[in-house]
Amino acid sequence: MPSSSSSSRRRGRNKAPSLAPELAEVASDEVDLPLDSPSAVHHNLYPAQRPAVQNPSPPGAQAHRAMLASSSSSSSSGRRRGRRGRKGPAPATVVAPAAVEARDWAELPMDILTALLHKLDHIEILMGAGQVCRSWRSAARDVAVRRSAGQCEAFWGEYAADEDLLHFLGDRAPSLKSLCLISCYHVLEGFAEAIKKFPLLEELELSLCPNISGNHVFEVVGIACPQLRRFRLSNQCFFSFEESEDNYSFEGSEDVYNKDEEAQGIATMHELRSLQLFANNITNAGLTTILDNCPHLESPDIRHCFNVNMEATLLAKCSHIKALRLPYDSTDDYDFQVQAPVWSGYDLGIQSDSDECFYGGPDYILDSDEYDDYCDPHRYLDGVYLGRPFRRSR
Amino acid sequence: MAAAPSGSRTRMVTLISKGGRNFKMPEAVALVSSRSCREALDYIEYRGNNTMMIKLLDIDPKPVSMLVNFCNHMAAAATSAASDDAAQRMREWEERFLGDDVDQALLYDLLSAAISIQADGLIDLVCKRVAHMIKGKTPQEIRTILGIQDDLTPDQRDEIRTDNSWIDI
Repeated sequence: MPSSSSSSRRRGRNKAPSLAPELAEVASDEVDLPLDSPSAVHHNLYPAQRPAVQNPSPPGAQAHRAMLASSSSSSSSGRRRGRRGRKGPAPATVVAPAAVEARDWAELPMDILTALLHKLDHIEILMGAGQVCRSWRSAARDVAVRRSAGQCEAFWGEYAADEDLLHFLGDRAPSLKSLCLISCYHVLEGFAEAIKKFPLLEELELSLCPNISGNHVFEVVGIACPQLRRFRLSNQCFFSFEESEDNYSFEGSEDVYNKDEEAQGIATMHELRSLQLFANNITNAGLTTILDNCPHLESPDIRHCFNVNMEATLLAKCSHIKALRLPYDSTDDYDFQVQAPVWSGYDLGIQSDSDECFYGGPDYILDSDEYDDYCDPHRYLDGVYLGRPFRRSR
Repeated sequence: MAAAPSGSRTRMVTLISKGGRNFKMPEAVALVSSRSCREALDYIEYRGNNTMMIKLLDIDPKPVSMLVNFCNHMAAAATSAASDDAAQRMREWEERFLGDDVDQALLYDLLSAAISIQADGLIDLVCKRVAHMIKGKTPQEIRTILGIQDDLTPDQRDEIRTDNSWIDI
């Protein structure tokens, strides 16, 4: 990154006393144009009394000039000069406004572009410079990542993040403290590899990223990020799986779904102070494992984790915890859209501590189909709504 | 780098612009201002009075002369004591240097010249000026100011819309 303070750094190298006379020498005869009066410039770019310099060439002729070392293209200018002839000191010619030269600002070298964009703030780049053209957009993304890297603080990605970006981020910002991915559908199994690049991570949020799940990925996180203090894993909606053979979803299925797979991974995050799981399939066993292995946990939030049944033993285990949010607690302050849980099979085994209805309360958003079901008297048994779908055979 | 022996002519670095115009600065100035010169002068041994020639044949004389002007000024400023006063004078000089008459074409040529010899100080100054020109402008305004073509693909436009959807417009 070019720095204009470099001149003071190099002061020591210069032989200061010798500079002044050399400058005086230069100022006298060698240079053709006046040095200290840039305001002497006329409307056209080049004072016309210099015979070697003609009117600027028409726009387009000079466009798309790559950054140069040196290349001799003086032949064409020589031709032009010959055609127009020289007439000695000519009156200053005024360039017509339309003859403003084209310059290829899109083709600047990437490091210069990023240096330029670094001087704008985040919003200015998002709303302006980052949308100008392809190369500028590229540079803008680079700046966004470098900024996060420079501050070593946080990276928030919504929708757009993918595994490549995470790896890139990991290379640039290995001391990242906070990573938050929301609705990043393109982050898949590669997340487990990428997260290893953030050993100093203290805060991780994965919200509505349906493809980061299960399969030991959180165990990897716990080991890769030993200083993780805050972890948030938010699913879109609670989806209940039943392992009993009555459940038609698992007919013929060989796999036993381990509802506590993620909880077991989370249990490796020994430094956790804050944990939020929303609409997770964790059960009592999983929660117990977490509580046993995360001794510093201060504020667990397990709203909509309806497989957890907060009976006496578990409540006792949580008695020292100040800010406990339970599955049926209010979601008024939840920052994503709350969706109604989906029950598969005949699943009324959920015990609830509270008397309130566990389906269709004011926190839930029912679409029209759900509302029709809700109003269908045939879906009620003894005044209790059976949810959908339900099986009469039980 | 050995100093020029006393009594002999100071060694110069010459920049050659389009049209074969020469602009010279003392080697010491070049060393301070230009990374390329620093690197090159490490390897070049002077015989007699040869000066180092740098060809910038694609660039018009005016930006090249401004580049030399800038380098001379920065080198002189580096030798004087740092103070708030000096910093203020430098800022004022920079504002005059890139006065209102300096349009985007000249800025671009100046940037080209500075990049050619890796004159970091001038690169930074021009970038500051261009950033100032496009600050707070819409993409189309920026394209108009700098004469850039919009070559974004439809996919990229969609991505931008999605990425920016959190912003209240």
